[in-house]
Amino acid sequence: MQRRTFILFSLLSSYSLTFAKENESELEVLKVIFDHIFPTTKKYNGAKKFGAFEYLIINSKHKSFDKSDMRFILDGMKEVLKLDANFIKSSKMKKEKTLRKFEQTRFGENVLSTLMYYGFEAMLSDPIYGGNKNMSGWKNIKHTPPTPMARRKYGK
Amino acid sequence: MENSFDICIIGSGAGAGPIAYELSLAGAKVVVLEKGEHYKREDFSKDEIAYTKRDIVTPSLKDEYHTIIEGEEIYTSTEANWSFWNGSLVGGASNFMSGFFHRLDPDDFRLSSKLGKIDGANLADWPISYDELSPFYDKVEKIVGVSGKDTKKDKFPFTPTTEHPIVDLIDKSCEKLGFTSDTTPRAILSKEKDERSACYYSNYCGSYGCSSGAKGSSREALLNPALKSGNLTILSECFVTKLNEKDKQVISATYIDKKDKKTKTIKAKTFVVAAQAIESSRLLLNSKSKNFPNGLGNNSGQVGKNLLFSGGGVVTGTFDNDSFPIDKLLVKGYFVNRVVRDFYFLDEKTKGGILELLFEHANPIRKANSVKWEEDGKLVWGKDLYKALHKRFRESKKLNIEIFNDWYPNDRCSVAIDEKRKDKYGVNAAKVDIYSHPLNEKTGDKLAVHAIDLLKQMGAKDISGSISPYPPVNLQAGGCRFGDNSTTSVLDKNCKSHEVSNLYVTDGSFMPNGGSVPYTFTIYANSFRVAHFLKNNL
Repeated sequence: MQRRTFILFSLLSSYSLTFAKENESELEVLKVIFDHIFPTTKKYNGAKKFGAFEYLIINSKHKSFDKSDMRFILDGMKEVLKLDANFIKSSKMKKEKTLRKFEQTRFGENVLSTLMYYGFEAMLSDPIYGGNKNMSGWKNIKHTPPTPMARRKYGK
Repeated sequence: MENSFDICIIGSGAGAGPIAYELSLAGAKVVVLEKGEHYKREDFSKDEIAYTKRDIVTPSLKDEYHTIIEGEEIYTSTEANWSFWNGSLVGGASNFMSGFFHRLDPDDFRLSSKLGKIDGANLADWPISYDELSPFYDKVEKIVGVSGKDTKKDKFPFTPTTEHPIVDLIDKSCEKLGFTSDTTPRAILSKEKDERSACYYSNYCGSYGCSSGAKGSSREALLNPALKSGNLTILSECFVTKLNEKDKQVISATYIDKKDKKTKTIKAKTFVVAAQAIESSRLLLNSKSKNFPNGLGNNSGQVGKNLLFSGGGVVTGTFDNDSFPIDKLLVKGYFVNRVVRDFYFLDEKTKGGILELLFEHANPIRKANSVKWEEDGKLVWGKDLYKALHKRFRESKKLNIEIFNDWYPNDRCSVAIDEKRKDKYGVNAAKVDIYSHPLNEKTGDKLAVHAIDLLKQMGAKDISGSISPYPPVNLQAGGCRFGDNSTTSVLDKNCKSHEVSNLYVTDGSFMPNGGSVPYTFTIYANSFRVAHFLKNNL
């Protein structure tokens, strides 16, 4: 597991650390797919900059998060590894080919769609949730920060 | 612990607020039992995650679900991820309304007489006329605060809220089509009132609690002033599970205090149920006793029957620089405030509805997620995704025409108790049959043609729509209809139970038909009417 990922999980709880260890490969694939789908370009802040992976990990622990979504995504990452065991280190072109192949199955399409949804949450939710770092996601679409912004996570 | 009050109200939304306001200001000791938390104005923010993406102000479906009957199929709302909860907090769903405040038409009060027999529909004339409710509509406009444009017929206490430049195009297009473009009356303050500030056009209104107090929620407009009387007690996070009856009178309410998880009772002289239509029927049906083995006030078997939602749907068109100057189009926050009411009746014997125009809500997460599919069904990502986002957010805007038409009451659409399934508190779940009378969809389809014509005339692109037989979860009424005949209705003309002498129901449950407009204004007005009766008869 990469050092940053390890630190992220260790900040959560011992349960989270166990979870991270048990799903190490899948989590790394998830992170790489986020970067592939939301790359950083000249005009757009990508997943790394707005913090897609961190957002999903942190918020998936909240009671209001649909836990089955996380399991579903990680099961999908297992399938990606079956298609390309070296997915993490594969070239951009090969990653694209693998993901498009994965997308052709109903399961793959649903996994990627779910993952993209959480990517948008990370990009465009209030920064208080840990994504949209420095409002970089809102800057992508020139979105004016709302008034008032969240003072606390999850309502009151 | 047992306390005793003059009035105990279950629920705190639009059906509850006027009773609490009028009675506590008149000196009665009033208690409100609300299942959800007590959010105050400063607690609200424009947080899309909290208010639209998670179960924060509504119960989690895993903990509290409904059983749904759809034709031959029976399933739980958890399985369908379909929530009928609309706001478990002080002020209820009125915190999150868009505030379209249209009056019912006088003929809505006598729809059975007007339309005659309709196969499969249980229409019934109301036991009151429009003229009896009209003074209470006036009262709501003043006390809750409704902004609108004065006409020969209607005068409003507040001028309209600031309007988006696109209203000029709407007005001109309506004129070309021979439609009447009316200004939408809104329960949103265009100028300050008492301790409530004017709207500051945040661009996040429907689905969000108001941070200025401009929106006329029950909490802001009625409960807050009522609290100042010193006669109102609000017990939040208190879920009423049963009304206890003796000698055909309610003597107490049993509730679970979610804060300490203890079961408690509270006594009062008069009980008012206003927990939103499905929950109100559920509470009565779960309150069985020796005198009422089928549920409180339900020896007629009418509680839960003739449940109403709203017919209709939405037609959407996209505007860009080709049809409207982009700099004006992207102006944010101001209201569209336009409605077409020409089709409220399609002819003497056919009911229609209204076309309400509004821009899609701001919600960037939802909007972004809507561009991830290409036309060929493939997911779009990388640079192509960014192009799609740019087009969606910076080069175009979607205008919705929401269609409201009647949901015809019928034998099947109803609330009952699921005797097998219980929520996390051990209370039997509500079983909701969502059957839609064929006229609901047929009428919506007819109105959609006019909506499409209007969008075409305006120059919209990508016009699409959905008229559905499925019920909109936020528009609930019926289930305890009022009427003069105690064998065919639950409540009398004052919304008092025919069978229980100190029990009233004042949310939308009383309505025999809902009209072709959102219900909140009529619920408020009727609740003020019942409050007037209670004040004179305590």
